[in-house]
Amino acid sequence: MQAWGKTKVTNRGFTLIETVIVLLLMAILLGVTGFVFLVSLRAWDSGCIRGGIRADASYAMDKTVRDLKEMANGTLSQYSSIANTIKYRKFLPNGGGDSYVFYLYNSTDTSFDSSYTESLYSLRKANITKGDDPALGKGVLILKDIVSPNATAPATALTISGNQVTVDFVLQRGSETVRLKTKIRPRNL
Amino acid sequence: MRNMKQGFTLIELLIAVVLAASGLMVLMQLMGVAIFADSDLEYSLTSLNLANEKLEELKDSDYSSVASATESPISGFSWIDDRVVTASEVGADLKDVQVEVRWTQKGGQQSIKVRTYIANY
Repeated sequence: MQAWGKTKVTNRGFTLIETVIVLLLMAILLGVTGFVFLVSLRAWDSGCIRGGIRADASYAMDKTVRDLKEMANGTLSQYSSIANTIKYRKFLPNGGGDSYVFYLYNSTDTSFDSSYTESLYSLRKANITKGDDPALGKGVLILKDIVSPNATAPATALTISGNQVTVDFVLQRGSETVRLKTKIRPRNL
Repeated sequence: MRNMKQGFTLIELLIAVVLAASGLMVLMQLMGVAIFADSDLEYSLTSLNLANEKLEELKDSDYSSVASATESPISGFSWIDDRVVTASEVGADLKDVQVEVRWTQKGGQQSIKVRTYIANY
């Protein structure tokens, strides 16, 4: 059995003041870390989306550049005079390569012309020789979520100037926009 | 017996809280590193494409007009400092052409360079 006085001292818990101070400090620390955490989570999210767009754009850019570099002499043109389309024939040493068209497609935009009324398009590559019809969205899907060529700048553009093709991809997912631009001068011209 | 019956003291609790907080901070710093590494990649990729763009332009132009030049700013890419073409004749009808795209990031200047030979054929 311990004496009354001694028990009273050793069993002392927190005073109200101590508890309040600890709670306050914890609240401040948690508030700060929580805020930093939220901000970095947001940055992380945007980083993830941008990473995805970038990977897609990079692949599409590589593919487009490779294809266009090896076109046959004198076969570069727009497809039925529609802006932002690129038509060419693949170079084969003995001639007779297939003709292809890079074009922008959105299934809602049924008028396949230069108007580009929708906000986002996909880039497709149609094999004309094998009968793919660009107006129906046939061919291989290369890149999604491309901003319409008629959007306020920066806007996607596939343009031909003499022997040069300018490829300017502007991609948008959520509030993230990524732009990749380059030019190609076909090697066999 | 006396110590066993004691709870945490204020000091002990504070130390625990500070330790926990510093642990969290380290985790967040890691997150920051990952995010920055990600944006580095984006700048390099865009710059590489712009450097290639210049090379293709030069390959499409007259041999005589392939010359050293500096372009700044690049329209639509305001974060890029400049695009520098260095061309030197290294033989008869052969030019060594280098295109360097430079941008400033994290307080330092970064750059990416592509190089080719252009012949007068």
